[in-house]
Amino acid sequence: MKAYRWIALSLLMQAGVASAATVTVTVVDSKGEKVDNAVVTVTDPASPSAGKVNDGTVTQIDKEFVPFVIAVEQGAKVSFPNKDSTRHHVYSFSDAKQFEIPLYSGTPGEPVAFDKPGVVALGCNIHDWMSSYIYVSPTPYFGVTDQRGVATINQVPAGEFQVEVWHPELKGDVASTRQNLGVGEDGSSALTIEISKKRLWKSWRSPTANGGGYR
Amino acid sequence: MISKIKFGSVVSLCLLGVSAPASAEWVDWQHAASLRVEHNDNLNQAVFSEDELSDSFARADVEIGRLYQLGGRFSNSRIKFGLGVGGEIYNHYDEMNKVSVTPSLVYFHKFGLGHTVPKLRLEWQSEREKVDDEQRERWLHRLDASVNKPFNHRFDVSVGLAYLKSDGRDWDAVVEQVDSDVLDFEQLHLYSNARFALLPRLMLGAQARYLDGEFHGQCSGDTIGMIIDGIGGPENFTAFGLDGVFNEADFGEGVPGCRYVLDGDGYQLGLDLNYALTKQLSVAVGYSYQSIDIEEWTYENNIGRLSLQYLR
Repeated sequence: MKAYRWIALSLLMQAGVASAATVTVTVVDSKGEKVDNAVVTVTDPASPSAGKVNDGTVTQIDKEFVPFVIAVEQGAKVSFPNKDSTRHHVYSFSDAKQFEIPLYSGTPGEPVAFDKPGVVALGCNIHDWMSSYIYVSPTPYFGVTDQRGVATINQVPAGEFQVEVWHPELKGDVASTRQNLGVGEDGSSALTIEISKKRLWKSWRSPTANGGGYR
Repeated sequence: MISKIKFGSVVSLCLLGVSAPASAEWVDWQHAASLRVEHNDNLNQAVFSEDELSDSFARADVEIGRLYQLGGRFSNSRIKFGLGVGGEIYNHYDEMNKVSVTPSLVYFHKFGLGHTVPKLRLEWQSEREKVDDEQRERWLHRLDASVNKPFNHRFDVSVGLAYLKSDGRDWDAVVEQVDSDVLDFEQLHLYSNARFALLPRLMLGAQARYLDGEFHGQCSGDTIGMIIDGIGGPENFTAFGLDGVFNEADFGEGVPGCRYVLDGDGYQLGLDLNYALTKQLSVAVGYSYQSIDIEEWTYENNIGRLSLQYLR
């Protein structure tokens, strides 16, 4: 009897894996060029699930935030380890999360919890050119595009979904990128989404002839 | 006209923070270097066009700085101790070639949290110039207080007040009862700089500066008479001397170059276009126009420059 139970459990697990698809989304701009650092979310409007939430990390290396864009699920905690010899002062004024970690080196004791979906823009109060973004996703199915403009989202169950894209240079709102996607039980789905970009104005980290230093 | 400011007062102000909480610490090294080629169409600051002499020079500077981060209620403040060395090579007037050493102290303070918050910068520097023409060796002291306000990620404006004091050798006395320390002068500069990002890497800078104080002027032995008549006699020069660099080789045999100091005021306007090659390196091209009124005369300078600057 014991052996039958193991076989049944094993079959159930395989069935579960087989019904979870991989969604691959390629993001391009209006010129057809691949867009990296775009956050792709796959949402089931009927039932946004609440499974295990993975925490995130934004590291400070050579006076830059790395990576430039991360996505975490609503409720995740993000730590901000400082790998530089100098201290940083991380802050955000964004509606989705306002917080401040005053001057510190090493890794702050407590990671920061992100309980509200939306975009959180980060800055460093010592080094004004430092900036990055945390996208807090209301859905567990999300990914960030790589340099090929591709986001791979695993473990998406079968069903009808809405796919949306956010990018720091996105022109218009996220809803304008929305596309419907049907995910079958036996395979992967692929989608290409075109977004319009606007220029992102940020302080460029470079000395200027008349400025005596960084901006 | 200009009240003398004790350098010690700024140094003391900067060091206030050192007594701040124990969280204060040395945090970073900063390395800077620049290469600049510049052309000045009136290098000798002549008020008469026939006396104007132009030249170009190349200048290289390197600086190492150590940043000290204050803590506690001074946590928005930093101090930088810097030491720079530089060299300048002239195309034609090689007796103007110089090397310099510049210690400096800078106090930065940010008035709050966020990238648009204004920043205060207080700077002291004293540059020791060793010039091939030994009579031009001097100290050039500078105190500078400025506030920078970024309005967004594209545009920021600075306003500042600078005090300059040049302290050089006495030249050979030429006129009785007139000082010959023509490299000694004091000036106040009220200035504003604005920077606007045309593109993320391309920055346009504009500078306007009002200057007040004592200024050099230059003329030849042929035109000095007009200056003397204009000021009512040679005794009214603040300082006067015969120039060893701009001399009869330029003005004609037996016609010396005369250098003098008089009170005056004027302005400078400048534009720079700065392109970021990397996060640490940029190239810039710039132009400045200067107009200085001394007594009833005006001398003008048109200065063009090309520079490469590195900061890490």
